[in-house]
Amino acid sequence: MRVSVVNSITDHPERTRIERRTVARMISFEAFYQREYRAMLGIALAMTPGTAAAEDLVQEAFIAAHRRWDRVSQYDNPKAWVRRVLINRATSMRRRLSAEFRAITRVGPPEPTLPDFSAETSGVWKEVHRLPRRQQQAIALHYVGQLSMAEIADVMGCSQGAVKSHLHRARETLRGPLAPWSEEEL
Amino acid sequence: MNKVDDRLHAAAEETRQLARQLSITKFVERTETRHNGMLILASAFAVVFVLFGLIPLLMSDTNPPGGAEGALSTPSTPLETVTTIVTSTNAPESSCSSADTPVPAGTERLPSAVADTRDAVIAAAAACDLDALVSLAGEPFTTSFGGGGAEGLRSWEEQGQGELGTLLRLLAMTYGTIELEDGGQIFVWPAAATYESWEQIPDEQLAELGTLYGDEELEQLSGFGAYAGWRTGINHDGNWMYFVAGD
Repeated sequence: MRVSVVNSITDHPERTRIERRTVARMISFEAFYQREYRAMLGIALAMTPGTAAAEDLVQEAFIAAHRRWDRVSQYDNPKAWVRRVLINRATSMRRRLSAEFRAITRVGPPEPTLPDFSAETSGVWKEVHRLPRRQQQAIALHYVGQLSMAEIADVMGCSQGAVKSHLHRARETLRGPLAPWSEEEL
Repeated sequence: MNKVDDRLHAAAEETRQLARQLSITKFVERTETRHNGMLILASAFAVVFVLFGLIPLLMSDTNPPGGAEGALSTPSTPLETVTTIVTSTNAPESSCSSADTPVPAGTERLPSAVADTRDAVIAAAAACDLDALVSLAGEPFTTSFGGGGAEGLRSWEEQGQGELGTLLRLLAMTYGTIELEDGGQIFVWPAAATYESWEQIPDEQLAELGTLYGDEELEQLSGFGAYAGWRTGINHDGNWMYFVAGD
């Protein structure tokens, strides 16, 4: 058995330096994207009226991360940064889609439907979409994202107490529209 | 209030399930198709990418560098193959053993079949895509996991004792080759595993092992006489053959 060793790290120092840095950056981002995509999509689905809109929202958030990846990748928690972008853009996207919808409905197309959810889940998210922006964000991050209070506070840029307050007020508001369904089941 | 909470939890669970069922679309393709501005940016990036690859080639000597001992007869790995992405159909685990492990960069001068397999293993390990990882394992495949094959990777990960971070660290190191009697080759990470005695391992490769082991562990490993720590090998056909530790 003959053993030979190729020093892959020092070969072609100038050429590989550039390529390795570029490729490492891309692979690193792609791995991050693969790992976090579905968790982000879950949160987006809870905050937007449709699968395509949710996917667009996730793409927008990751595009923002990709543009700043040299910096974002150095953060202690890059996914918290992407979550923050995601929830902030969700509001503006819904506002934009709402305006588009109003314009479209003048000529008659049906109301866009929520993703392939059961009627119950569609109903829940429609009610959540009527909540104030910060309450929606807290609901999506807590229930779908399954984040801790500290993590939600970090993403929303507020105290844990404020998160609890948003969640409490949201549940109080939802008790009216959601409670009747629960009683029907009994 | 509990009913509201229950409703929200049920809706959230259904939402997460839907998110898991939807396929992950390749990042660049989506930005190209949905955003014209990003298409232009992506095109510009591709041009720069190609130029970085071509200019040094045009400027360099035609003889492969590295000397007779280090030179392989195959050309450098095209960059495109290095960025191969494994698209998962399963949800990645947030507590994966590869979490927080830096993803290795491309290794040039590997045969393309070997480079492709290495890149795919890296992408799958980094994404904690165990289905992809198991499918990439050659037949037969040897692991130190329960004395079994590739499925051992999955069971150990599920038990919280995964070594995918170790796998990524290995593939970031210098590789060596083992020449087989039938003319074949095995590409081995780390190169330290291809020396017959510990004393033959160059200092820079010992330093690389420091990314995986502490000083005390290295001391113990040296006592064995040759490197017998974690190592992985891919043969010249691109078959991923083993990921083992121990003698």
